[in-house]
Amino acid sequence: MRDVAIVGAGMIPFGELFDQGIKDMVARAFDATLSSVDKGMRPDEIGAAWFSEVQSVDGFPAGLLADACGLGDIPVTRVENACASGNDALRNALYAVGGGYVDVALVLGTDKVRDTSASSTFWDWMGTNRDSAWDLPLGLISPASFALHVARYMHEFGATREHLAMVAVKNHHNGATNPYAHLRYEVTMEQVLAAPMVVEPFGLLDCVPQSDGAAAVLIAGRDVVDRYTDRPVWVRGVGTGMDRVLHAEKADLSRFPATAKAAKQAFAMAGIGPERIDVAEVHDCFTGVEMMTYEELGFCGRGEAPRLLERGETSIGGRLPVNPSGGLKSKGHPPGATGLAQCTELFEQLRGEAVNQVDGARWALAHNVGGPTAVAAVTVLAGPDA
Amino acid sequence: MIVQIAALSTYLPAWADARGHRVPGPDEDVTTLAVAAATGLGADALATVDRIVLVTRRPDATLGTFPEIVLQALGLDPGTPVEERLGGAPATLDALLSAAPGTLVIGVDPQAPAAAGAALAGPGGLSIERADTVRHSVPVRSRAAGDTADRVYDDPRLLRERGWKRALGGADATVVAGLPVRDVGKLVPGADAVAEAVEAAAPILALAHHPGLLVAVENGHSVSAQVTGSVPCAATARTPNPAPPTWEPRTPAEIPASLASYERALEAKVGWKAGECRECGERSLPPRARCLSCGGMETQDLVALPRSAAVYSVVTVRAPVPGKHGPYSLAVVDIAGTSLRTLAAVTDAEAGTARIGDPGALVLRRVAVRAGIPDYGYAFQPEEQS
Repeated sequence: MRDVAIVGAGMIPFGELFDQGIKDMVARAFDATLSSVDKGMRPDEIGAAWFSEVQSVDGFPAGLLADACGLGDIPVTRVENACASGNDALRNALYAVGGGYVDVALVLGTDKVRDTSASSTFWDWMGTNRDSAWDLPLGLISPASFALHVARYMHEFGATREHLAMVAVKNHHNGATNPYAHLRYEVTMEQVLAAPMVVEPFGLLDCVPQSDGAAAVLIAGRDVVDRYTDRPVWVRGVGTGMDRVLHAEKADLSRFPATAKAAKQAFAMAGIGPERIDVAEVHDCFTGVEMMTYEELGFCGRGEAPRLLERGETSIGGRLPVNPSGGLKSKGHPPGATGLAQCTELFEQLRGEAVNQVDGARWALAHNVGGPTAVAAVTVLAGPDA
Repeated sequence: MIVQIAALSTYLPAWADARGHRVPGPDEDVTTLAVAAATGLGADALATVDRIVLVTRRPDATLGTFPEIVLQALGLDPGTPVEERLGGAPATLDALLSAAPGTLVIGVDPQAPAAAGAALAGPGGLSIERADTVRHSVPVRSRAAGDTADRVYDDPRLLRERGWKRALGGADATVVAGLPVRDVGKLVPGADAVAEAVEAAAPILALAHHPGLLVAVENGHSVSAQVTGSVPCAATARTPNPAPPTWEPRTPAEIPASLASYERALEAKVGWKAGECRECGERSLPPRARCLSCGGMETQDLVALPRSAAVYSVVTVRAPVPGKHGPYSLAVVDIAGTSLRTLAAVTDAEAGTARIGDPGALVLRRVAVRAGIPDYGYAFQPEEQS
């Protein structure tokens, strides 16, 4: 397989985008991404596109991307893999480009959460993740699905709500300066702990906002990378891991096996270990998920994640900054766009152009976990200087 | 005709209103109350049941699944005849007085004061014999089909003078079922009254405590019986919790329904059974087409599961969920004596009080109403703290 690099990456500011339809968002993210290519790129140089979208809005997804971007002459495929769709779409595109079948591919992700009424949105999204007979009727809403893991983890390892709050404080601090973030403000530990309870142990400030947004990357095979940039970001490893879909059938709720499997694949492909990672964008849909994920990605040993937070090791300036963009927590979480927005942030980090730059970052990792915690995707990236 | 009663069981819901009257929880209805009362009879008694007569004034529906749910939940032969009778206290006593051995009579009062009672006819220490029947038309309390509340003709003296007094006749009642305690004290000084129920459940609750002349009254109608001897009565009555003023969802919404998937799941979900592989013994809940252990296809038979469990992880949903009453706790529980777990709503306890490790029971409840169809399954009832 030939090497593959990201040669352009872009997004639109995330938020409650009532003024934009999904076609507007897709077109704008596409334009931002094309514009980010150092030496320029014409749309007709793109050989294929992958569209990451979890919940269909305004009709047929793949056709919608082709139509909104004027890409009617190339194959377009929708990838839906719950909240892991973005990094998983990148994996699919990488296989095509790496295999030599396509020279340049567009991977664009979006979701529009705010186009239906609150209660219909609620159950429409629940239906994408739940067994109709066994868990949908119980009201296992998304924060509860993740909280069942975090509550068990806290029970086993003595982590507290303060540890969860440290994640919120850190990520809001980072996102406050990110012009693309949905929630651009800082929060204090006291505010996080005092916020109204959503699903114990998660208060409102432990949870992602409901965001609309779109993000994309353009990837190219080694043979053609030079046409587009002298500072490519190499996609060194990809992985997608699965777990049982029903919480009752998961062997150990204090873990996220899907993440561990995805990370193992991605690190093996990249030929490096987690100790080489300089900066990471980790799926923090709920604060405790970021904490637990440190262990699944190998950033620390079992039960040690709370110590990383206590010591500030995942803050900017620490040993391994996590979510310098603000993460899902502050930047927002339109599920189909999330993984690609992470890659956009890391593209900038590895080229030294990020708003919250991690000094000397050479290796980076992006991570999503989604659905009923039953799928995860991990991407390992290397900068031009790695 | 003298009818012998082999076993008795009574059930009071765990919640009480401001007057101290028991009220059903949001997940209880006539069906679950009937099952709760009958379950108390125990497996040996239930094994002798060859007919069920359910008496209530307030059925869940005139067309629905009552017989199928009750037979599945009690583990009875699906061919067992189930007769649903509309009536109050006299109708229940009448059903008992004409019950052949093997007939299970269940009386259910789903309105405050709510209660359910089950009496199994068969060889036993308690005998009842018809004494009298009185019938006058004094329909002070009435309810037309489609009404959502009783209509009350506002003249308590008419009811007492022309209704209850004549219904009680000159009989020297030992215990009166069907009237409020206060009125029994005025009308039949010295007689006992059934405080916990005033409709169909009342005569069965009376049998549990009082030999002598039992008079069951409703409006101007009564049935009386001589009661001799006694049998042990299994009484289920948790310390009452104060019920919130309303169980209604804060935001109305219809939880999406697939009757097809519910119907496929019913035997496992309501009968409380797992799939067990004939080839390797592996158990699955829910049952599955392909055995995950040996790969056998269609090798699973349904086997009954234990109904005691302990909390493995638990969370409490405090944010309003459209179509759900709240707050509510959801738990993944270890099913005793198996390596299986299930996801269950926590019931009969204040939300947020169940803790990891707490023991309890899995009880049949109406876990949701979807598209107007009640959805039955098992909820986790924590053991009462002593």
